Amino acid sequence: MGIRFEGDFTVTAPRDEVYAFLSDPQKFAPCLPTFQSLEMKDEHTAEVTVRVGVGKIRGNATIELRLKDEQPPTHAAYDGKGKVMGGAFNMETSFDLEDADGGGTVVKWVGDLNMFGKLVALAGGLIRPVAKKDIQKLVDALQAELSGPQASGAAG
Amino acid sequence: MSTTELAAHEVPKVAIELSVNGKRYRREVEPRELLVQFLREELRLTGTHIGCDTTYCGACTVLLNGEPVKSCTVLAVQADGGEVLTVEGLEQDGQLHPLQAAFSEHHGLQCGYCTPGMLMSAYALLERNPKPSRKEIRKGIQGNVCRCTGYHNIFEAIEAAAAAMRKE
Amino acid sequence: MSWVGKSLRRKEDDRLIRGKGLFTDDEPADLHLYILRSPYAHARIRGIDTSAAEALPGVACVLTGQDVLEHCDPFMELAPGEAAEIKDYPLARDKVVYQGEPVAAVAAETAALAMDAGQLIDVDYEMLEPVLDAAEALKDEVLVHDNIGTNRTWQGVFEYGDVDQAFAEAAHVVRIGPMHFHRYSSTPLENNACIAEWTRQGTVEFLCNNSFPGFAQQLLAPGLRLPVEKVHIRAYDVGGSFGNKIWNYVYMALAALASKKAGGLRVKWSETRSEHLLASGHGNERSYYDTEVALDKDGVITAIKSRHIDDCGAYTRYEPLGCVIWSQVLPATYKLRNIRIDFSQALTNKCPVVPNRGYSRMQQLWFMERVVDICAHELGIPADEMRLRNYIRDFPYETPNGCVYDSGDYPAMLAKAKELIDWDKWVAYRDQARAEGRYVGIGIGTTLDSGTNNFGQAQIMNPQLPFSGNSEACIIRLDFDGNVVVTLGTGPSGQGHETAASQVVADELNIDPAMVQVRTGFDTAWNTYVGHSGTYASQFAVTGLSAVHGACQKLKAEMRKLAAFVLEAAEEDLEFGVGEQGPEVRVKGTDQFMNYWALANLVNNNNAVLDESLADVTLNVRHVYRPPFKVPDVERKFGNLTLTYASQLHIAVVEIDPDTCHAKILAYAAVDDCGTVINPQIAHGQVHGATAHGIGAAIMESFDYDEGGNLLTSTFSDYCPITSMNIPDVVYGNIQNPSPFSYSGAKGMGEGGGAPLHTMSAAVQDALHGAGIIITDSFVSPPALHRMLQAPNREQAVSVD
Ligand code: FES
Ligand code: FES
Repeated sequence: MGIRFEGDFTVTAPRDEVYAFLSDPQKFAPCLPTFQSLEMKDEHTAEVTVRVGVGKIRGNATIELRLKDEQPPTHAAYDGKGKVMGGAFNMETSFDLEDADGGGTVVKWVGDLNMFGKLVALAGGLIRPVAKKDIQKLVDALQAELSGPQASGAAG
Repeated sequence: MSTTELAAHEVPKVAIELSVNGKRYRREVEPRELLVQFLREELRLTGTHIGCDTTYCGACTVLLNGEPVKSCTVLAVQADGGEVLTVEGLEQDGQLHPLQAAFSEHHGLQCGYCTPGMLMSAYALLERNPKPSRKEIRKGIQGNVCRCTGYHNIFEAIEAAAAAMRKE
Repeated sequence: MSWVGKSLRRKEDDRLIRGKGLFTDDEPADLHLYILRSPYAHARIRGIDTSAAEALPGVACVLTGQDVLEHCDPFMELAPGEAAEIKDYPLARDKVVYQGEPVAAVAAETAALAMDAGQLIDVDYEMLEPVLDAAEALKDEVLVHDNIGTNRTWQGVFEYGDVDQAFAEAAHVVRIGPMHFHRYSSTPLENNACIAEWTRQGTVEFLCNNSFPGFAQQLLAPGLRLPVEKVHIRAYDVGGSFGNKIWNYVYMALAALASKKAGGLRVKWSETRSEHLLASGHGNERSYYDTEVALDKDGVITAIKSRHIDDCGAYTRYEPLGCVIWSQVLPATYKLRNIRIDFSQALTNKCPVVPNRGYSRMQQLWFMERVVDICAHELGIPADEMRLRNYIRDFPYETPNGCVYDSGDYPAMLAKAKELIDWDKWVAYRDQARAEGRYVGIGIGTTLDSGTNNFGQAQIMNPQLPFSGNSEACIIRLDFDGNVVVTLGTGPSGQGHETAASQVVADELNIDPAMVQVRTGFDTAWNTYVGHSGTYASQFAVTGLSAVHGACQKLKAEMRKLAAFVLEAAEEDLEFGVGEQGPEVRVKGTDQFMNYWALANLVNNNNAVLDESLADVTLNVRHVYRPPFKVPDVERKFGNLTLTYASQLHIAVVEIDPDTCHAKILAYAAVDDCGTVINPQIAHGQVHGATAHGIGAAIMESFDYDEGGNLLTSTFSDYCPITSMNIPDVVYGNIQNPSPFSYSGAKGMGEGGGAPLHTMSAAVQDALHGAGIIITDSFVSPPALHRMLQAPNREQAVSVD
């Protein structure tokens, strides 16, 4: 089952700073809503553990995140894959940075999530709303890191 | 998993006490153990069956404190202090329960795998409604799947048992 | 007094209604097996790390593809050509080819612990593109099994009569666009289970619910590198099979390996429902292309040509037998003589198929019923009239491919079903409703249940296969105490074999069925059996009971000989019956008798008194029944493929709610003809059961895959098997045209031929034809009907010249 998410949000930090933050898993991964731990496998690959679940079904998911494309300071893309509760998922996510009118940076992002296995049958219909909530939390956290309190944004 | 968290199999067992078919039992169970596992594996009452893993089929239906429950969806610890009736408890003093007799008489079973759960749901139905209509019978066993009979003879059997019980 | 033909209460019931049956999972074992399955439909396995699982206290052993390579040979393949090279092992080795394929297994002290350990196994996969559509698969762009170089398992043209001539002379030619028979399964309520023990003597002892143990044994032994006699299989109560439990031998092998690795402890594997739906066998999915139908001016079908592609999923477990089995009912119930069907089968990255109730024939019968209804609607001929013009009427009837339909009366079934449902009333209701703009339709489905296979048809698929004919065995004996004890070659899964066999024996010996003990269950070490023995293909009533009947004749001959000697009477003066001392053989018109105890005692304990002429009398006889089959003509694909043809005719009235798109059944009638009925209650029960499966399959039950090869309906809550709330009231009727080919006139009838699928498609089409809709898919669920109502398909789906 494939789902695409996309959206944009604005932060007050300048582009270089935003780029540096978002292209470094060690910096942004702790902003993931249910972040547990991170281990760098090599310079470009991180293994991130998060807590996931739907309803009462809870578990840890490990995501292997690899920075596969770097075009500082405007674009970067990650490949990710992980396993969770007898299922598996792959994702691709990328972002493009633009200077915002009146200062700061607009972050335009896309994520493609592909899920396999039991999870799809058990929670297929629930994943979009759950993921949407988590993405919003992530956006909020990133904004808090990269902005002053006045910034705004939304996930779509 | 954080290191302070115990893996499920390391969680200490819990003592429970309950009555099944009128007999009292005291046992220690894993907190995650289901009532159906407790009945089948601890007590070796294997008449209660398992047919699914999403609370759909009703093969595991038993009465807990007089109410029909799907015992695959009740933890053994939740039944602590309770009274359970299973298919093995239907026969009294060598006398089949009228439902058991009617299921056989009306060919309400083929492979017999759904039968214990069906009997328990039907038992609960007739307890609250001694003269159910066809529609009420359908509703009474809507949580019980039978893959063999096409339900028709089960409806007939429950109707016949209800009639027999009213005469008693 | 005849017991056959009576609704005798079943012997099996006594234990089952008390919760005292013995199903496989009821038996305890030392260890429990958990199977780790692939989340992907298609992926390469780059590595497996089992160390964490192995380190968990209570884990006895972990198995991976490496173990099966070391200890197993691939299971025998039936296919000819490239597909014969498919390597089917109990665990995937370097690649997984369907979602749910077993990748590793853990045996541990409890089931929960085994599952915990399974979660600790780390498998490194590299995802590959799956191929999910059979027609797409035949392009061989993505290969399911790389080593065979193709996804085609079989292809053949079935051509009879003069098709081109018939088209040249046709008054009408109807062309029908692609059609599709969906994937579902009759999924029994009891999941697969087995307990395996690899003993110190080097034998493997199985307790399981396999429904074709004779076949399983022949597959398991070479798979486990053992001689056949070292593999012992027992089965007691089986909670339904419907064909699905034929191939759980794959899991039996896995449990056996685990037992071997764990030093001979008893290992139990109990499948969960989700595992069962995901990976334990689906019914065959089939697509039909380029269908053209020639008809004369009266709407009589004279020829059909089309191209069929069967989707067998990722392995050819019982396949490609399905590529031939359907031709048992090639023309369905219709008299056309000119047919050309190009039949292929493809591998896809989906769950392997199994012989599901109505196996392979139902897909052909559905196709033929669609053809008849579509032609009827397009030519403006009422569906009942269309059938009457096309039904076969004279029996025995030889079909264009040499099958012999033994007996039947399809017009009489139609008349009976119309009467039961009150046809005229519903026609008036439908017409009135239509005038009001409502979607009401009436559909007829005629079907066949061909029973007792000629295994020689396998040679049409692969001429190298060493089987043909069919047989079944029975042993009947008087034990020390004079009890009549019967063992069968089959184990039952709900069909009441113990009862039916007792009825036959009781009639032959003129005793009460309660005096006959039929051994419960099946045990390769105990039961008599032959290679064809098993509960499948609607054959017990013919092969099983003929074996019982034949064994009775042999036993009676021995008892007569013995009694004549002792009673000093002529054999012709003896009769069988029940006297004051129980069952006996007596001299007619006298008070001279020998009861069974006395007869048995003479042979077993007190035999010095016996004459030399009685040396052969053992009171323990075996009979093997062999139906009169010949090996078919493999080149022409011609021959008699089945012995009996039971028939069913259903009528449904439906109304489709334009908002919910639910096809509500307003009335439903089912008439069956299975020749002489052995036990009416059991036969009636089989019809109701098959009807529920068919209605469930038509409107609720489907295995839906997404584009990534994920099964979206892998739990009961998603698959939604039919419940008491969805089953309509079925009015039932029976007619009896005895089979001239079975001793009793009975025909096999357990599968039912999928009649409700044909009937529901027909009824829904009747309701929606006015809205420009042709039903081209067997699944008429609310979402499917919603899509059709959004985009009527008649323009593309059919054309008439
Ligand atoms: S086993 Fe409990 S509902 Fe199916
Ligand atoms: S009798 Fe087999 S499931 Fe109901």
